[in-house]
Amino acid sequence: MKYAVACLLIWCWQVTNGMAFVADTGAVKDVLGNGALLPPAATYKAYRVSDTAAYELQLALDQDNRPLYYYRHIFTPVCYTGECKPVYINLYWDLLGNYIRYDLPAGEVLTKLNHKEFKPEDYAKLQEILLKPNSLLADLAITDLIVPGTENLTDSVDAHTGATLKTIKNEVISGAVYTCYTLWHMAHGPVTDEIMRITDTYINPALLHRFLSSGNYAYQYKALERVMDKSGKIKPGFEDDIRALINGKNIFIARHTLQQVHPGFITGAKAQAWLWDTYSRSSYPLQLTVLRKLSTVPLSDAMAKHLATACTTANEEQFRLIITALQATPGLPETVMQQLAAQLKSPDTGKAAAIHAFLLQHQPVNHTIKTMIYEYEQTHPSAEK
Amino acid sequence: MNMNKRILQLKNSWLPLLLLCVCTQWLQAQQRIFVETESFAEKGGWVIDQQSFPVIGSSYLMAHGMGRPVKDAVTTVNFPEKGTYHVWVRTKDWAPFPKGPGKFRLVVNDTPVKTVFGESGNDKWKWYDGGEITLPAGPAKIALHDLTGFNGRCDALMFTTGKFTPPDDAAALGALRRELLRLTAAPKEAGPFDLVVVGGGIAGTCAAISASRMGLKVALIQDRPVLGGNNSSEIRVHLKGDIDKNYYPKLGRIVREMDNGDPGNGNPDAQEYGDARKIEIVKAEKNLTLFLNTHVFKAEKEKDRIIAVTGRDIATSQETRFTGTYFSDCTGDGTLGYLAGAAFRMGRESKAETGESLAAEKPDSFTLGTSNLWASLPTDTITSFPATPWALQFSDEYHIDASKADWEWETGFGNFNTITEAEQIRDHNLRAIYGNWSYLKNSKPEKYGKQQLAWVAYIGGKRESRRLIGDHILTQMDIQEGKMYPDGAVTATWTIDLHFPDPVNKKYFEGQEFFAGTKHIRVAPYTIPYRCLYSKNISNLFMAGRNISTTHVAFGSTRVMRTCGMMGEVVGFAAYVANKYHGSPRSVYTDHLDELMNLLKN
Repeated sequence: MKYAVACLLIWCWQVTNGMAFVADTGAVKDVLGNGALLPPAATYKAYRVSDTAAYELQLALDQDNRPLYYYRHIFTPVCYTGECKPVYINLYWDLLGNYIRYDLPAGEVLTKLNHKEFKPEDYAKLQEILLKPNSLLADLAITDLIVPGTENLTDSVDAHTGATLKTIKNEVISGAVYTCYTLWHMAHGPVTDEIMRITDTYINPALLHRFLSSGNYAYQYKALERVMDKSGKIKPGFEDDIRALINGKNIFIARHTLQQVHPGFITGAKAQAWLWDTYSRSSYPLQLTVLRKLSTVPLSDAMAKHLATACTTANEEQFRLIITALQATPGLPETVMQQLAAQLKSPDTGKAAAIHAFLLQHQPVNHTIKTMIYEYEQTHPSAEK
Repeated sequence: MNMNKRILQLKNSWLPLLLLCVCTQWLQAQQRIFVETESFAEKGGWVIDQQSFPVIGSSYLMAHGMGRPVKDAVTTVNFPEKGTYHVWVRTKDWAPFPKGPGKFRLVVNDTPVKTVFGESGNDKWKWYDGGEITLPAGPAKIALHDLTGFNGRCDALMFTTGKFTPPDDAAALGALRRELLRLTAAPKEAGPFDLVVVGGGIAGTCAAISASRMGLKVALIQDRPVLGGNNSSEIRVHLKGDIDKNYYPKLGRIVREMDNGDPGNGNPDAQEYGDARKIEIVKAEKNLTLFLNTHVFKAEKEKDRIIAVTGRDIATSQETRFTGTYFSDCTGDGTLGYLAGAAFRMGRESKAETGESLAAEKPDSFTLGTSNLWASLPTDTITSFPATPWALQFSDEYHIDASKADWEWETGFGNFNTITEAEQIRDHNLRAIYGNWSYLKNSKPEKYGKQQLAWVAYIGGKRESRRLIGDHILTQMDIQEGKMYPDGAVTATWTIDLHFPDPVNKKYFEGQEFFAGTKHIRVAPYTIPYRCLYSKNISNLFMAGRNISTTHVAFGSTRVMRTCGMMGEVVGFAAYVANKYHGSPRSVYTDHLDELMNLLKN
């Protein structure tokens, strides 16, 4: 009985302390019309943060208590000479502190100088500004940007930024420059580190799998840091995720992952069967990465055969890399050498010459191959013998 | 007896027959018909590109369709004899990654030749074997049939009989061209002129107008069908640099005439750039003769003076020779200076060499890049754009989210030479544009579904090539200290604006960056000395534009077009003074500077 009461008390404490308030959809004004960017949340957990001021960061969780996103109710006064206006806004970030979107508490509006209310295009422009992690606003002090006590740009702002006045004007909302500046720094300031710190406490294999299969490249890179060590070795249980990244739509993370992964990951017949399939379906830049990677591992017989066949249709760059990869494997099967020897008859004289040089290096003993080499040398007197 | 007679008869009959056969064979073996594609009577949707002239010695036709196949280019070729002809097509695969999209067919009398050209996976300009066709004697209809709208290109065709393989070697091919196109005949003579201005961009056009208004007889030679260079509708860069901060208010007037207002960079409306108006202004000058579509490729000298230049029509290959007293290199690339042996520099100097704080640590070949601007326009219905596996690849992680280009779309830097690799630069820009556009159309349909490419530049907008060296080399210190030399002429106002590859673009496309960043360093208005506007070692050569005598750092500020236009105005005045006293451009500085400066002041 006492045990049950204790549990009940602990649970109550958690409820009051941890979940400061219930989902408040309906209590917000979705001025951007992009509320669907956020997955539906079941509960929220509040974290007290103290940096320049103390505030609460809310972590939205799903019904299985898995973290979804962060947000913050913001109240900030924007003051000019003679008057202050209150700005109420909700900012939302993903689990890595990347800014997603904003909305306003119900009944609120944003205003420019002289109380002019934001128009829909101003709200949209603000979202554009806040979405830019490398905005001009990052490196500026507020005094570089505005005439003190106003919402207007100073005349010499271009001197401080190395950008033209026109470019700078594109990156702020005129009549709300100070507001833009303040909100941008709130969206991209120390909160990012805070969010990373909190998210780190939730990292577990389930979250890492979720990140890797999310299709969100920021999540994927973050998870990759955790599942791939400095030498490229993959944590057991994550091999499928890594293969999915390499086979995925994002060429950049595919290439990066394949470049970084430990050669052991693509060693052996099974791994190379998968890698050849990858090659056949990849875009050209990734194909080159595959070929480069293959020169760091011994080739399975099947892979060597695939490469030898691919020589006929390869372009110059691919061909060069194929030969390099074949070069790095001692003891290629005879069938592969025969496939290559057959290409001595290729109308592409460059390829034929390269294959000839390759075959000579390997000093084949097979009679058929030697005959083909001899025939080639007869018709190409300048070839090395 | 009969037998012997018979044999004798036979002998007598077969000998002439044999001779006839030999002659016919000999005659047939002589068929070598050479057709330059740029000379096709109807270009259809194909365009003439002459930017590779310094490398391949010719213009070529290109199917610049932005992914929509263009109308056939058609011409008539006369075949003096009926027979079986071997077809040769000079082309390349411009995007061998692994195979490019520039596919086209050759159609003879409405029958396509079996081979599809342009997708060989090899990007060298080469002759490709088109097999054999049988033709009757007389005219035949020859057409280039584009298959994709993605920049297939063809330089020339040959139809031959007998054993003959056209040469790929540049020298041998050049000789063959001259022979078969009958270019060995003497060129047309034009001139003599007082001033021959080579290059019809803003600088050259202003120089030509300025000199002709001072009474000189002037030739203006331009290798495109329009004037204005980077400010023409072919490239669409807007004019920068102020004309209203002049120490000498007389300068800038001709630039103002050239100025069609500011439509921004890459405006989809070609009219905004005022091509026709520029030509009208030039044609209205009675002392000025305009030669469009003429690419200068040869200079003749006597000691240290240029006596003539020869230009070739970029379509007809017809050559014209221009003699003159003074010449001005306004080509941007410093082409004339280079041909004449003028001292020049290309790339960056080192800090040690120039003492400039913004100079490179070590000297190198880095230059600012070349832009091919582009723009899309909204459409009423959803439009599609194909996948482009041969182009640069993008994803949500990195792409350029924009419906048109601005100055940042730029390729070159230390990766490509702006002169010898102009074609590769343009092609790389196209791979960036089309690859990015394909990504936007296919992965961001909510934003780009109803947008369609309206215009893509196929002529590259160059920024930096050779800088011809004069009696003074403008430096960063001249600019920042605002040094007022006695021959300070053009007032320049633009920032020191030196582009570099955008760091994020560099992260994803190291070694093949196509997007730039810059940091503007503001300057107070300063003057460019007249001594930067004539060659130090070619005694009758002026220059104006982006190829004048500056360091790389100083070029960052002088390079903008209104400033370049004012340089042209000064060259015009200086040519007048030089001509008046039968002296060199240098003598205007040494002996008649006051007269020149008075012209600028009043």
